[in-house]
Amino acid sequence: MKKIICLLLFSLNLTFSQNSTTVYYKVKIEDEKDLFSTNATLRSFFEKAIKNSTLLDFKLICKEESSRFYDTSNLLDLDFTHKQTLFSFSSYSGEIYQKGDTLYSYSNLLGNNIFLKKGIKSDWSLQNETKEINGFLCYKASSINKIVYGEKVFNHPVVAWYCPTLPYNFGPNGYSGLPGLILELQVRNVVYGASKIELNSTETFKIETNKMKILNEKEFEEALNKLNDF
Amino acid sequence: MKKVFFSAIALVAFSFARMANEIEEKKVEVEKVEVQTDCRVERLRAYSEMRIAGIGPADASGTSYGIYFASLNTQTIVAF
Repeated sequence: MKKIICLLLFSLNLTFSQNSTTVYYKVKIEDEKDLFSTNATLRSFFEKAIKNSTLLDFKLICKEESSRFYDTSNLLDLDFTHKQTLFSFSSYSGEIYQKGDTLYSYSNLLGNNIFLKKGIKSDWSLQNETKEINGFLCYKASSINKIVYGEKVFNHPVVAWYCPTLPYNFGPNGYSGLPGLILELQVRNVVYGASKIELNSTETFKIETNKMKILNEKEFEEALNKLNDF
Repeated sequence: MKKVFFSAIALVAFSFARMANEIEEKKVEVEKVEVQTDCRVERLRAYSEMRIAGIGPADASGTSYGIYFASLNTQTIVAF
């Protein structure tokens, strides 16, 4: 009898440990009136991306110590150039894995199985403000996304709404490191918002770092410079 | 005598045909070079303007390459 109970408990434990949480995200690109006003082509692609951003769908699968964020959009009606610019204006460059405190971001642009390896964001400022997202109580956290171009420094605001009752330090598009799952994220004018949350999901994934061509931030920057003929 | 005569005509005909092909090939090459130069300028301009507007290097590269391929498609239709 004891053996049967042990076996039952073991199989129950196995079932729970295999379960994951899956979050579905939608994207909204907000307009900035004067952005690219001096380049008609760029402005036109930006306006199309704002319109097409409703077509974007992303999925975040959360396991105990790792996550996978990737695109599941149906963009059959868009040509290559509009897909490419839509993803770039959404700041999405490819699927992102998180293992512990490390991120592995794929670069669709560089291809060849190239992943950028970097640490998770750690400069969050936690606030008391709350709001409910999909029935979950979320807390506000803010940070800065620093972009440097020559002598110019841009500090874009980052606002995340995380849910402590979903105890994962993951989030959309490589933003993570909070004491709860990020259900809404705004970086500058791009908002990733959870549209559906599946607890006890059966979805899973493997992180095969041995099959990745991994670059650090400096090597990644050099590869981009080479691609851009600099 | 006939054989020699026909051989001479055939040689001249083949030479003209080869020369014509060479001229045609060179023309196509010139058109392609022109297309790539213009689109490259457009790509670099888009990249630079995005960076000036505070967009990160990966996103600026992605968008500027999208614009580059859009430009190539448009220019190719005009060229041929």
